[in-house]
This record gives sequence, structure tokens and C-alpha cells, in this order.
Amino acid sequence: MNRRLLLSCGLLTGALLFTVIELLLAKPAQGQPGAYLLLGLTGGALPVLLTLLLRPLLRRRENRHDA
Amino acid sequence: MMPELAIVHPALLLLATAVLVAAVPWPAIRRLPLLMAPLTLMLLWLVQPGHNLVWLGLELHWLQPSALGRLFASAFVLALWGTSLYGLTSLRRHELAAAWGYAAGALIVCFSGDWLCLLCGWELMAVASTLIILSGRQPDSDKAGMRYLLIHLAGGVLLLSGVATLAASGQSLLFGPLTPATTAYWLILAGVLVNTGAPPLGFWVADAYPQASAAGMVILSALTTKTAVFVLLSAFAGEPLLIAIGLYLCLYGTLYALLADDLRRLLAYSIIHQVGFMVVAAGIGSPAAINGAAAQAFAHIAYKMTLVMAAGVLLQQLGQCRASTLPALARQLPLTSGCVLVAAAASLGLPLTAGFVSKTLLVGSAAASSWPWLETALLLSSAAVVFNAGIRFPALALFGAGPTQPQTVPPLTRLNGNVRLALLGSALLCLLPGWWPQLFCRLLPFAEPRQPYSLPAVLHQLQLVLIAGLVCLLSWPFLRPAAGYSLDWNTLFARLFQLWQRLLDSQRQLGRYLWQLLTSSQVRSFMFLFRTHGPHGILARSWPTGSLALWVALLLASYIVLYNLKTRSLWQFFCTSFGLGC
Repeated sequence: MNRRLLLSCGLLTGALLFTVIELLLAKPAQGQPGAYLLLGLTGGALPVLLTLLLRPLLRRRENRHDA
Repeated sequence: MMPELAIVHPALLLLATAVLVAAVPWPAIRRLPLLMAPLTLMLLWLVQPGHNLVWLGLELHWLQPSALGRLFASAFVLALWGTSLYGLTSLRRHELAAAWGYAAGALIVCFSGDWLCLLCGWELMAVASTLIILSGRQPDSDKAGMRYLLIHLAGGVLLLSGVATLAASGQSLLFGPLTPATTAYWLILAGVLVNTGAPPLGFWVADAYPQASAAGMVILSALTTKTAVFVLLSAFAGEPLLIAIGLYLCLYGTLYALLADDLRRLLAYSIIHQVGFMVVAAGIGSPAAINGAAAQAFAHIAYKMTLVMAAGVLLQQLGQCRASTLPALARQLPLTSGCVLVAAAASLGLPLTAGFVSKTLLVGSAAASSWPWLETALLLSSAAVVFNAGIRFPALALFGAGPTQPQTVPPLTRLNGNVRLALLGSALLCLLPGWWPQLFCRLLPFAEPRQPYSLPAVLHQLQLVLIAGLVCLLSWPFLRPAAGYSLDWNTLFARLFQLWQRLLDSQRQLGRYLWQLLTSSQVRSFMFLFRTHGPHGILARSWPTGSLALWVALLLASYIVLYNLKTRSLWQFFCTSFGLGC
């Protein structure tokens, strides 16, 4: 649990750090600073939400396996 | 190189090796492919267009090398080299020969100048890859192999029908862009799309690949789908339908990879996801997009080969690679772990890897296309890589993130030298294009004016991956792998076939019922006749003479009555008969 928290903090710090560097050194993407943060967030959250929604329909926990 | 050798088709070297490996029973022959692969690689960059062959009145352009074909063929030969090295001790002789035949088919496709030669290579690939799956020694290899063969034969029939329609309509059979919206165009496109894993038959990728052996899956993951992408890029570039199909593949691959428990199945879905990118690029169709797709195909072959090799190591060490039961093996397998991390970084498109170069080119081409929203769609899809090859696979395979309880680590055997070398080589291949992007871009089919590396590009990619990684980490408790199976298109097809079977059964039952009805009525009528006319029937009995005379008299009387009734009225009959005088 602690390891996951630590990793999460590291990832968030890294992402924010790169956004700050982008703001300072480079032109913001698509005219908006942090646009890629939003894209990464959406690109990450969308599959999670879809999977949680569709898993009851698409996955069966029976005594038969994938392989 | 001798000028004579410059017109030898590189596929001939592969076919000759396949025949030698299959025919010669010496154990040392297994090392021959390791020597032949670099020779073939060299030859395919030196080979010149060959003389056309005339066969049955048809002019066959069997050797027409192009920049795109050379790049794809190089990636295929590198994958074959990696497979031969990785499976030096584990691949059976006929399996190794099938792998070489399979690669020969892919090279025939890459260098064919007309649709007929392409079709020959296509079918050779279908048959050889089926042999690889059938040799998989997995629980469901036989059935999966037959399903795979059926689907690919169906795709081959579509392709053949398209080529036949093309020939019948008097159009050129030369391999290249086709006249859009013709019957031949749609038939050939459908045949090619079957091999990309497009719906509705795309389930074959995740159905068949995990049923191959550890080394067999390495070559399978590299060839079939990418050969189809090569044909799409060469003949169907700019077809808008491909954009929709590509985006579907991205979504489908991501979603099903998240549901998968078997790691090799997860990688199969990841292949579909990555092929989706290339199909979208084929739909865009601009030179930049074709460059991006070609670069992506090369990078994808490199990192998927590494990941599939790592999954194969787990399969060979533990006998299974079910994520929900795997312990943390990173410490026991340090070299495999290092190579997996490199390949995962390449799949995420991190800087200094092949994935960064290919994704930058691909996304850049989408931004410059007529559909600017595609850039956003591809970036979203790129972020979703964390859920398959990027973070999920390494976490499940090596860090024991699948089971809820820590699992005990079983004793592992030391990896063979050839396996370690193959892993290292493929991991290096994931890095080289990222280290020397200019050199890599020179291999692409069109001159690439853009620089893959720029400060904004690096910063954007890092932001995208880190934040998507954070989402992946936070959502982990909800998305733990669990034993079971996923309902895919094959479930729908299975239901349809069951329905069809039920219809056939009911038709058979109806036929049986009607037959029984007919035979029983025949039997009943025979029984009736038998009862009446048989030896004990009423008509066969012996009758007393008096009774017979009575019956004859009664018959005569009834005849007289009927005759009179016919000629006269009832009243006249009574009068004349009984003498009433009226």
C-alpha cells in the first residue's frame, strides 16, 4: 500500500514537473498548458470506466479459463 | 555482392532453409537459420527488381522491391532471427521449418509486384502459421489451429475472389493502389482486413496466438498482422473506412487486454491495439502517415517480440502464465526483467526508444491530416498503452501485482544462453531507433522532414505517460486480473453455429418423424390388408354355402332395388313390385 502511494506521488510529481518545464521552456501544446495532462488523464480513465461498466457483460468467472 | 545474387528472391533463401531444416535430421541443422537470417537481411537490401516470369499466359512480377517492402521485410527477418535463436533448443524441427516457411511467405508478399504473387505468399503464410499453432503443445492448440486455418482460408478466398474480379474486369493485376469502390477493391480489402484482426473475425489473434509454443508465438506476433498492414499501406492508403476500423481496434485491444488473465492473451490483445494505430495511419494515407505506420510496425515488432519472449520464459519456467497466480519473479529473472522494462518503455513511447520515434511520427501525421481530431484520438489511445504492454504486463509478469495474496516463488532453472541472447538482442532493437532516429528515418519509404526529437515532444510524451501511469496505479485494486474467460466475437459466432446446429438437428428430427409417420402408415395399411385378406382375414375364411347364397341373393336384391330406383320413382317401384295396381 505504501509502495503504491509512493509511486503515485512520484508519478504525479513527475507529470506536474514536466508541465512546469513545458510552461517555462516550451510553447504549450495545442495552445493550452497542461493539455497533455488532461489527455493522459482521459486516456487513462476512459478504459478503466469502460472496463468497469462492461466487465459484468464481457467477463465470465466460470471453471473455464482463457488459455 | 555478385550481380547474379542481386536478383535472387530473399524468400528463396528462407524456403531453402525451411526445406533443409525439415529434411535433414542432423541436430546441427538447427544452427543453420542463425547463419541464414543475416544473409537474408543483407540480401533484401541489395536485391534488385527481377525479370518477370510468364506462367499460364500471365506475367508474374515476382520480385519488385520497394522501400516500404524492404523495411517490413527487414523487421520480419529480424523477428525470424530472434525466434530461431530463442527457440534454438525448444522449437521442434518441423516447427522451425514452418516458421521459416511462414517468413518466406511474408517476404513474397513484401516483394511481390502483382496480386497473384502476393496471393501465393499470403496462402503460404496461412498454412505455415497454422502448422506453428498446431505444434503449440498447449491444451487447446488443435482446436485453435483449426479455427485459425478456417478464418485465414476465408480471408484467402475473399482475396482470391477480389483478384479474380480484378482480372475479369480487365484491370491491371499489378500490386498497388486499386480503383476505389469497385467490387474487387472491397473484396481484396475485406480479405486483407481479416489478417489485421478487424471485426468481426478479429478474435483469431487472441484465440490462436496464446496456443502456440513459447517460441512459436514470437514469430506469429510479428508477421501476419504486420503483413496485412503492409498491404493496406501499399494498396489502400487513404481509405477513410480504415480510420474507423483502426480506432475500433485500439479500443477493443485496450478493453480486452484489461480483462485478460493469461499474459500471452493480454499481449495478443495488445498487438491488436497497436495494429489499430497502423490501420488508422493507413486510413490517413499521407506520406507522413505511411512513414509513421512503417516506423510503428518496426518498433512494435521489436518490443512485442521482447515481451512475448518474456512471457514464454514464464510459460517454460512455471508451465503457465496466468496473471492472477504469478508470484514476483523480478529478482529471480533479472535479465528478463530488464529486457521487459526496456520493451515496456518502448511501447509507452518513452524518449530514447523506438516507440518514441514511431509515435511522434504517427501522431504528427494525424495532426497534419484532414481529420485533426485524430491526433487527440491517437494520443488517448497512446495513453491507454499503460493498461496492456506498458505498465500492466510488467507489473503482472514480474512484480506479482496480480494475486491479492503474496505467492511463493517456485525454484527456477537458469535460462539458456540462446534465450538470454535473444532477449538482449530484441531489447537492443527496441532502443536503437530511439538512439539514432536520423538513421532510422532514412530507412522509411518517404523522406521525413520532421525531427522526432524536440523539447515539446519529449515533455508532452512524458506528461502523457506519467499521468496515465498514475491512473493505472490508482485503479489497480479495481482491475485485478481474475480467472475466467471473456466473451468475444467468437462467443457470438459459437452461439450462431450452435443455433445453426440446432436448426440442422431439428430438421433432421422432423425428417425422422415424417419418415416414421410414413413407414408406420404403410405398416398400418399393410396390417389392415393383412387382417382382411391374410390367412386369418375375414375374406379368407371358409364360408357355408347357405350363407354365401344369402349374400348373393342380398347383392342381387340390392342391385334390383338400385336399378329400379335409377329408372323409376320409389312409389312406382313399390306398386309394380308388390302388385298394388296403382
